[in-house]
Amino acid sequence: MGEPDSIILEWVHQARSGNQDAFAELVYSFQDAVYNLCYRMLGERTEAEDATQEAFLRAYLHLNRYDTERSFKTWILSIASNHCIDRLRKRRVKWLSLDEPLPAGAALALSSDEPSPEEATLFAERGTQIQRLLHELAPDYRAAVILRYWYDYSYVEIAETLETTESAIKSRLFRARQMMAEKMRAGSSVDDVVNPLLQGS
Amino acid sequence: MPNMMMRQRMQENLDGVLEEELAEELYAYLNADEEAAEEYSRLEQLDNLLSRAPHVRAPQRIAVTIMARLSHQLQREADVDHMPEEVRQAFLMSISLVMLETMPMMIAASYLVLNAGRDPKLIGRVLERTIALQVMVIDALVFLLKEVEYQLSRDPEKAAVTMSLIPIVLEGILDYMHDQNNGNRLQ
Repeated sequence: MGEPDSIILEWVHQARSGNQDAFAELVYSFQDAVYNLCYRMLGERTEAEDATQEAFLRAYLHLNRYDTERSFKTWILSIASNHCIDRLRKRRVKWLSLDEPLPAGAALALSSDEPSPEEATLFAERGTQIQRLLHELAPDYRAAVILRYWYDYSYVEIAETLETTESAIKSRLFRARQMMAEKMRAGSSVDDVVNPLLQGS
Repeated sequence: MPNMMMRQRMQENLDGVLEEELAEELYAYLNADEEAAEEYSRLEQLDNLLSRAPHVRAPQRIAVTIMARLSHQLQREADVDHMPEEVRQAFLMSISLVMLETMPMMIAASYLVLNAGRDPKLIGRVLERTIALQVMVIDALVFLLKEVEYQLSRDPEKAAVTMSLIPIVLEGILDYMHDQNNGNRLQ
């Protein structure tokens, strides 16, 4: 895990002493990372937005608990993933389906440059397929997969973010990938989406 | 079917953490076992799909919304911190009274439902009454607490007075239910 950036630490110190502008800098720096995690976890833009706001508010209120030896990004992602896991568990308690379809255009806000209409359609379809696969997973498994693939975290980093052991993470990733691969085999439409994209990229 | 150890190695290879020697063993195994090769191919396809998944950008307004929510929350906390001591005490007392009054109500409702469960004729009636009571209590609490929240930043003393109304309202609801019950019995 990389050394904490000195400017990030400076913002943290200032935010701890009540400087809201410094905290705003932290928000600007990590809003995309936190939002992407929340969106991938929850699969719904409005809820992801709310979860992102909540994660930053919690971070501000608990800024004194942040260990400056650790990466701030890992810490804020840890808060966000735990919050999303809680939300998903509550959602399950409310008997709501995790398979609810994504709102139209939900997968179109990509970080790449403006795509052509065809590319946009393919990206949107791929985005929907990815969300469907993720939604097959239990919240803990989903968080591990997201941190592995979207943040390129190692087993150790994922374990630190999710506050568990390296072996637990290996096991979660193992099972999650098995389940998603099975799901891909079962859904033939996935190939129609994946293959043209892989060939074209 | 591939064994557990080979499955583990497949996954480790995808994550790039499998030692070279073990990776060679895995490839040899995959060459010899068609079913295992198919499974590995599916995992590889999934790995490719996930590795190329785009990052979703946060809406532009999100930082402004976060900072506005933060300011609002800090302002509210500051208001509570500056509350006069007697108002704070009144608040604590009203919260205790609300708890004192609602807890036995909830316990009594649960007790009634549990006992009525033995009599099929009674259960419907008890459930209807209990639910009506809960709905009235919750509605009253939501209304009054929203009012308290609204007044807190403007006039904390009024908020404390509103809070102290809660036990009176709850008692009123219980009296109403009691009168209704007696009326039904007389009929």
